[in-house]
Amino acid sequence: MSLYDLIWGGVGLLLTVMVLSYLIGDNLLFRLAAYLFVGVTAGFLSVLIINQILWPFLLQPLINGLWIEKIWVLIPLTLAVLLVISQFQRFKGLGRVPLAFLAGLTAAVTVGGAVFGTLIPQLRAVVNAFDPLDWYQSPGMPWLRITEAVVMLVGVLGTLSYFHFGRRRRDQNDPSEVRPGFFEGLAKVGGVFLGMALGTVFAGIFSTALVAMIDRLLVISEFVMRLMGGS
Amino acid sequence: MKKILPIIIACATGLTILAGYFFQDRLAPILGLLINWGIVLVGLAGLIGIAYLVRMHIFRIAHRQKGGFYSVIVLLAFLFTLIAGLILTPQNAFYRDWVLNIQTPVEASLLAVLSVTLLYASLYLVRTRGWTPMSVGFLVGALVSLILNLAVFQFQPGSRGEVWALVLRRLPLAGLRGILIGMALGGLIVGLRVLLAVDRPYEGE
Amino acid sequence: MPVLICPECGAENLPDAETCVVCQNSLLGVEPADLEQHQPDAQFEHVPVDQPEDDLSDLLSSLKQDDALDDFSEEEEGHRSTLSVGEVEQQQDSLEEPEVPEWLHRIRQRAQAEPDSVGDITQRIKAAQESLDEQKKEAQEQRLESVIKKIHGEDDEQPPAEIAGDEEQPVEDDEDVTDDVDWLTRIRKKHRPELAEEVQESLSEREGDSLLQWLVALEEGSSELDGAEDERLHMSELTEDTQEVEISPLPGDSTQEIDIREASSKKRIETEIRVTREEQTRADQLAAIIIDEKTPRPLREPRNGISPSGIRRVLGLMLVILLSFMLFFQSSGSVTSGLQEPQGVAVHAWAEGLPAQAHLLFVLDYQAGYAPEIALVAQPLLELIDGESRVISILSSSPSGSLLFSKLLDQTLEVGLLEVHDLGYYPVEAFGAYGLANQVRSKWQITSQPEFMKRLPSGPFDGILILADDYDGASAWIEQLTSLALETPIYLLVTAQAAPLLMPYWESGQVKGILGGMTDAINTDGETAALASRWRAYQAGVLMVIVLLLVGLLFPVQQLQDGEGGGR
Repeated sequence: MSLYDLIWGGVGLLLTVMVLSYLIGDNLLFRLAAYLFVGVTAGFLSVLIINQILWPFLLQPLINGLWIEKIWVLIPLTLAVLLVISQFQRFKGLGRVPLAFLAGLTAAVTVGGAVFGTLIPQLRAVVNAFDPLDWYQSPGMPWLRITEAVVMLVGVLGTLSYFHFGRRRRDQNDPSEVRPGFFEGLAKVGGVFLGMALGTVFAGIFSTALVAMIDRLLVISEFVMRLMGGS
Repeated sequence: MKKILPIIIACATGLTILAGYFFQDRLAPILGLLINWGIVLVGLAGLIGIAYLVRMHIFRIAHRQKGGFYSVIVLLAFLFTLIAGLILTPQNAFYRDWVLNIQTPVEASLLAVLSVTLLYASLYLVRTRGWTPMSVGFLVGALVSLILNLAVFQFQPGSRGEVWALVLRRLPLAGLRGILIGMALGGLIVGLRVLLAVDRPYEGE
Repeated sequence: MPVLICPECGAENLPDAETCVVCQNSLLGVEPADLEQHQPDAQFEHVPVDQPEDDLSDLLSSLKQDDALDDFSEEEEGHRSTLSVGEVEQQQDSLEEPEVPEWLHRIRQRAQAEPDSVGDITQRIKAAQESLDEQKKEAQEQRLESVIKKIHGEDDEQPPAEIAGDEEQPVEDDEDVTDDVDWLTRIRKKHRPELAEEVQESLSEREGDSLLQWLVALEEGSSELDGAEDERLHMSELTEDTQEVEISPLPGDSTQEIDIREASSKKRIETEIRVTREEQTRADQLAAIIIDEKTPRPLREPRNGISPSGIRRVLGLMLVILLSFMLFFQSSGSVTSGLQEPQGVAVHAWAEGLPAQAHLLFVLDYQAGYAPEIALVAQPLLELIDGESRVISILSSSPSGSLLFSKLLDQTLEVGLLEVHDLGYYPVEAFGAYGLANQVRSKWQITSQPEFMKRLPSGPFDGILILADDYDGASAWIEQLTSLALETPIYLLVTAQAAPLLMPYWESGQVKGILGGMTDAINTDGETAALASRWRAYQAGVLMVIVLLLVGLLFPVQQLQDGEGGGR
């Protein structure tokens, strides 16, 4: 084990212990580790943005590029300058243009992704489950596939009903809100499906956290073993 | 004009990007250009955000506010990482070790702390939530998933047991798909409101 | 001029008076005082509203001084009584201005006392200001009305004047006022003769009167607050959507504030108010909230003597001990796999069947904390992919993605044969994916565009592998890549926490395979002795949470207080 590895191993061990000390309660060691992490992450992100975004996309063509390349860079450069100077109170209004550009871009990508990437394929999958050809693809269990398709349809509709946004009031004077009768029934079924989905997500999150805990324990033990001259 | 120009820019950009989903072959280079500009702006916005963070910590130190010591830690770590990164570049082995040997233990240990919190939550799940359809579903979903994760049961490929295990595994899929569709609907509505200038986040509304 | 100042009420009397003109108190033995010597600025001393509140005795004395107040015209007094709080404060500020020259002071006094003494232009300006103030006040009232109407959801069919007339018809019963002290009654008669005569008075006038009563109540020790129980909000002329309500003092209301209306001692106020059902509902809710807020609650007793943080510590300690035992004291043996799921099998099948000169794109969207789990999933696959003439491009949408992947490659492949191209960092997943998909399908290029603008590869790829730690990042890539009809197969190597929410994408055929977390890695990869201790520790941890979930069922259900525990 080289000194270099020993130092980094020690740093890792120390930081692990400092953060795990949070299990006892909030303390100085935990905060130290957290603030160190914030500083390093902010610094690294700055380097990454400068090195991989601003330098190749803006600065390099301005310094080394041909005149035609400089023209192409003018628009993002203008937007960038507007964004920077809008941070000063006096020029606050100028930030609207680059922010509007970003908002339009993000909104369009979100809409396109949601419609073409999730809504249509997922709804199609729900409907396709009722394809008789598909039922008989796996021999011996067509009834299971039919059941699955029905459960899937009921589950999806129920879950969506659970989040039904168009609630109306039972009475003008009654502040409690209630879904229309049909949706109310579906929502109750949807609650069960939603609970199952969340339970599965819970199990997944716990598994991930558990793997992290095991990894930390292994790191500590490996470092101690190496320090003691073990394998 | 001050108000109309940003609206025009947002709508024009958005519609061009949306058109890309239909006329991809013809618009691809222009769309790539717009995306590149967007990436530049997002990067710059990130840098501005970091500048505000640094300014806040400098302020805390200058005014000797509570937690000033932690701000010194943040600033030292930030400056070292920034300068080293600019000099050595992120591909450098030492720089990689510096960043990863701080980030990995801290983040992984935070996750480890989360595992204990989840253990505690699992103990009091039904006690605090009561017996509702959702809590029953939650319990069943979590138990089935965890038991299958244990991999204590051995299944012969194609056996009836495997089929039933797979059905159990797929049971939460309906709820998961419902969540996915619900989120997509939410995203669609928010995006459309921005594109139709009903919501104008760029105006600070 | 020497005057006699009444020791009882402070009023000024003529030097030869035997009894006070205000309170009829005997003035025998009272020494005459020179008013001009002692009160050089008498007019200002008589303005009650201008006094600071901490000098109430003097203020009340000055209130009782009839003669001096005669200097002010009735018109001026009437105006003063209807001053709003803001105006009073303004006037107070103006009067408290320090270092006003005496000559200016006198001019101001003169101008107040004799309107004719000021010039024509000044009078016009003053008139214009008053008119403007009136307009502002009207506009404010109209705005307030419209806001109230909006809140009530009423339509605008009813003219504002009518509404105001209907809603505010205060009737003041002066029968019980006789119990007030005599001098106060006389002050009222002197300053507000209309109070004694008129049955109805405007709201603003009542406020002014109430202020006076409040001051008196304070002066008298606030002992007469027992009239509050008789206070009723009486309703008449009920229409369809109105009804009679009775608001009684709230139980447990122990406020120390002195209510202006209560301070009017035995004066009984009957007010007619129209309340809609909605208003009543809201008022009831408000009253319920107030009562609930003031209800004393017993402190929650600690459960079983152990605090939640204590239980958490115990559980944490138990978990650490259990995992350590499984990691270090269990004999390592081979690992048997459990349920082989088709989405995991598909990934391995694809990797094994890759062509010799495959070109793959790795999308990295995971943070450093998840690196150990991602490594467990990705390492077996990387070993399968590693080949002499194979090329992989990496594109990162998390800051440390490329660093983590290079470390992963170093750990996995001691002598890597792969050719690796780093395409850089894309801060927004959706932008990167959209740009990538467009680049792949583009049939023409902008020739004069800078070379670096074309950083995204145009493919074609034999497969895209997304390494993600959460649902958000991975789904953004999947959405964009599949919505732009990219035919390249997509595979996911994700953490256990991201896998469930990404399953529908596999089910719908948008992704061709998923490996999620340690279980999938073990199940798909089969028996691996290298991971034995880790796997056993994992099983022990999972078993512990199952046991805790079941033990939790034994606890009785605890009813949550409102707002406790989050959104149910």
